Amino acid sequence: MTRLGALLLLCCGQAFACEGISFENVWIREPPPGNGPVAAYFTVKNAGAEMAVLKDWQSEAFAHAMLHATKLVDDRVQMLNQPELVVPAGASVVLAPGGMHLMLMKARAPVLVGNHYALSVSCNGTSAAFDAAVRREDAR
Amino acid sequence: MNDTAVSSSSKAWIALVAFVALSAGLITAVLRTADVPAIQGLLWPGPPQISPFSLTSDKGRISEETLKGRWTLLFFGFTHCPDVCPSTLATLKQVAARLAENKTFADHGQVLFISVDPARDTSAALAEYVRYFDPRFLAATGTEAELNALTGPMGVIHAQVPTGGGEYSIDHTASIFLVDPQLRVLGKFGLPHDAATISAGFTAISDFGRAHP
Repeated sequence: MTRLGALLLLCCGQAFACEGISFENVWIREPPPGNGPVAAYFTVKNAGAEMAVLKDWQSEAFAHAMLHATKLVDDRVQMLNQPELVVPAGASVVLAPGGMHLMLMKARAPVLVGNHYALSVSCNGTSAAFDAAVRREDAR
Repeated sequence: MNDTAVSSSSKAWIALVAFVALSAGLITAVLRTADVPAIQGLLWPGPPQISPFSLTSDKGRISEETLKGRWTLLFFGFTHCPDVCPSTLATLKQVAARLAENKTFADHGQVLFISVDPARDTSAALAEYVRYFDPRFLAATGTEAELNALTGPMGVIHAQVPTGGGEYSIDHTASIFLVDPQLRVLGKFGLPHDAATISAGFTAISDFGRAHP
């Protein structure tokens, strides 16, 4: 069983483990001047038959990436780190302003409108990649 | 016996006077409350009052004097806030555009962003940050004590929260406040911030405020 599992993972792991996952409406908000973090927003769609667990977000253009949820408690806004994003089979999760966002920290070069950034994430243990373009928020 | 009767009579009078005073107070309060129109975001009766404060901007001090005689939309945040703060300032840019034809805002309105992160936000960096949204926006910050002089009486919360690796975020009050020319905090707009709602709220609250000096 273990050998079979390893064989399956070696031969078709990526296709099987993260089948049906797609990233839609991906964009990065053009950051105001300063060296603060920037936010990426998108919809993760799971058209597959397996639950997807996404973690370890990365981009070579940034030193760190973390998934955060904005939470409002009694008019107090909090940012909560989300170590994992679970997308049930057949479901979608929307990352949008005022809700969840991928926080990209310490850009290695200025983040400008029109720039494209390669992002990656571990999806059920395999790597999934997608692309994000920088836009002004009111240009959506 | 006679002393006891006098004492009882005095007590009855005191109770009656207290009852009448309490009733009058209650009736006044009820009448004032009944007088309050259904305006979204209006803080009335008994709006909080801005206390004396002094903060730093790239153009000098920002204090209660900066707010006197103006209608101020006030928001608290920090530039390392990647989600709510830029979204709110983008909304305030839309609010300012929507209120361009509103004489009260056009002649006496202003938007002020207060950073609750003085360790990372210099006044020069803050000015550049807010002018990205609208060159007319003001921004200021100050020491913790200076900030608390403004935020404390308003009930505005700001607290550092470590996020690992020596980094931190700041939990903060999300509402946009509307301060009138007499330094009364007459309006409060919570999340989600919608430009149409806030613009309409500004118009209704400023009309109400002028009618209730």
